[in-house]
Amino acid sequence: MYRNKDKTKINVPIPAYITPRDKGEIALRIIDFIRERTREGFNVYGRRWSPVNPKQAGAYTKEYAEIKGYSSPVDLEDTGDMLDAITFFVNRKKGEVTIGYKQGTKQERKAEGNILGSYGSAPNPRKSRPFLDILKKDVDKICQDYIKEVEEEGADG
Amino acid sequence: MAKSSFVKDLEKIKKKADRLLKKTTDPIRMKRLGKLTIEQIRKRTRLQGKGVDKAMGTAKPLKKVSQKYADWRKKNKKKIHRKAARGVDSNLTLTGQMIDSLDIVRYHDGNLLIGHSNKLAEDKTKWQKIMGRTYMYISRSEFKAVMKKFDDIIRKIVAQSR
Repeated sequence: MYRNKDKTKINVPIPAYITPRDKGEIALRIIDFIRERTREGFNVYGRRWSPVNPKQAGAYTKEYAEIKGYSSPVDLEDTGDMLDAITFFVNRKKGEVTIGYKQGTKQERKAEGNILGSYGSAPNPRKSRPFLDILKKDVDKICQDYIKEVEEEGADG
Repeated sequence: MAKSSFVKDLEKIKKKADRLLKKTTDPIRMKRLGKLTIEQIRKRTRLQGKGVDKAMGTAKPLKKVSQKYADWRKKNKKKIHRKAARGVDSNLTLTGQMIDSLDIVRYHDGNLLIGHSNKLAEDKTKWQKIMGRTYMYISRSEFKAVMKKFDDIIRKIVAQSR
């Protein structure tokens, strides 16, 4: 699966057995997963942002750490608004859902700064934290769990 | 007698409304609403250090902790949650377990009950209430924000499934 290193809106492939009726809920669960993983301080591979160095992605800068109270783990959560603003978009194409940020919003710019490592200046891959991404195995697990839950609940939404 | 087009239209609208109602009140959607509410409570308490003392009340900063407790917390900084408040401020986060354990305890017949997934966290919340720090309600503006988010989600889900 293609790794997102520059976009603020991504198409995530999902298994073919997910019907259009269930795509919205799957998209929401993918968003929940990304938020939760990022808040815990992990990247797409479930590891810490590395290397753990204030000049690179693994730790906050000294100045920012003083305000925040800690330099690592990097959880990308100050007010929580950036992670909160991830949303899903209607996508009628079979086998994929679209998630990300609404274009032109303040939160999109914040996310872009983190994804590109630009933070208001030129992009720097060493400082980038491309959090808006998910592995195929995680998507598969989310879909399987959802199907199981629907069968248990008997929901037909 | 053949039905008039007006009656047919009404029947169509009723069918659509029934379908929409079913979509919004099925258990999975209701749990989504519960999750949004929990997120709102967590964000306000932990990140803003605010509480709400009654349903539809106003969010106000939580009562400050004693200097003695603040000193102890500073001394044991490494053992406590990284998002714990500093100084004499309170955000009801020490180990983080109390707020992390917020969950949907029960869903039955369209009613959601939000509470804690363990007894210890429940006791801690009761104790904090006695100490004047109540956070398990949502304010009017939070209610509006949650309902707006839920409404947006439902609209998109309906548009997606067409």
